[in-house]
Amino acid sequence: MLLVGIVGAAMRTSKSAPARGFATAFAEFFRNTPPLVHIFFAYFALPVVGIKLPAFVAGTLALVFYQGAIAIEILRAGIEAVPKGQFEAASALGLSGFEQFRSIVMPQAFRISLPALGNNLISLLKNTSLISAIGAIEITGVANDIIAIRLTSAELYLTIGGFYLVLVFILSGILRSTEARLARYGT
Amino acid sequence: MTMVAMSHVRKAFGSNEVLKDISLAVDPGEVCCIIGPSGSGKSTVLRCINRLVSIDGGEVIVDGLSVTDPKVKDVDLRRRVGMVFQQFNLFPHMTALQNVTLAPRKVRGLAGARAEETAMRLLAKVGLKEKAQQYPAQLSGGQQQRVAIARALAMEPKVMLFDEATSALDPEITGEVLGVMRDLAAEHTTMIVVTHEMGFAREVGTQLVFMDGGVIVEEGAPRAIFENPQAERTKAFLSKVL
Repeated sequence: MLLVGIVGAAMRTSKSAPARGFATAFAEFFRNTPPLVHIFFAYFALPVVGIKLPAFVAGTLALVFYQGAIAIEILRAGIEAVPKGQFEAASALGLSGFEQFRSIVMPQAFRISLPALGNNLISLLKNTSLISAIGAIEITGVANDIIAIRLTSAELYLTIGGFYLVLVFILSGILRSTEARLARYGT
Repeated sequence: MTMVAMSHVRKAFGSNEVLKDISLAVDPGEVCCIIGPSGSGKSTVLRCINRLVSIDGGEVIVDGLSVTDPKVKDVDLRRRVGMVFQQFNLFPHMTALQNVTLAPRKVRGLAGARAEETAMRLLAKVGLKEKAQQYPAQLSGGQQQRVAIARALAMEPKVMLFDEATSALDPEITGEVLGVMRDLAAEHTTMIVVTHEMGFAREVGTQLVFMDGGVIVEEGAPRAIFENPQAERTKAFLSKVL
């Protein structure tokens, strides 16, 4: 997801019009359509054109595209928030476009974007529950199976809700400490 | 040979003509100070020299390389030209040392240890050896600007451009930055200095250029211009700032 975001944001802010156009179209398409539709499409529609993916792979891919599209927009905003003087100084030192992006722009854009990227990661974690719709094995799907046999929905949904809560809690803890670590150098 | 030669340079941003027929020659070892009111095109002159701004007409030759020649790569020009900015523009996510070593490593291909050795020497030269491991946010404005000077010097440029290097600093700390610039001038570093520091222009400059409205109104020896300005506009400007 982060890789899609970084590559996409690089293209989205590049000087090349085709790269920019492609990344913009990609981001707009996947960001403005529901993830459940992507999951169904990847699993049920792609086989029509000969691409058969296991449920888990299809579901993961669909979510990576959806959350990646959101990450593109988050990072684009981060890149645009890097002061113009940084680009000027990097250019004046003779750094190439790629080197400027890698050493100067991306580290700063990433730090600016981190809180929003964290939310995106949390939403990715929770949206994995949608993959159960195509029968992939993950928490919600397994819970549904058990409910079908034992008819104890309340307890199980509460339990898996608890699972997600714990997972997200751990993830946000990691994100918070990363933010704090990056905030070390201030400004 | 002339280090920087500009002839009949023109530049417009949209309908705004910023530079109208600028011609200027700076020889090696000279300290050329450019003064003038805000918006007179001083900063744009500097940016034309290292191609941060592309020119619309005329010619700029830097150490034998033409900025309008498509065969001359950006990096070839920028290795020859160091630049110091009004807002310092240090990279905030890197320590002072990393700021200084970045370009030598990435552009000149120096090994880490060699780059650090040079960087430490330069940081010592600007009096900040002990601040090498600090991040820009932990440094004062004057210290940041001195790191920025060390960063530009690390590329061993043939000419240094200073774009109002002290304008963003509190008056009481401009001295530490001007001191470093004086040292550079004493070592015969070729410098083009856009400045509002009239004292520096008068005492350190070897050549003075007064710009207004995108043209060079008057140029010559600093002392002569400060003591006996010829053009009306120069007189009016100097009477306001001195």
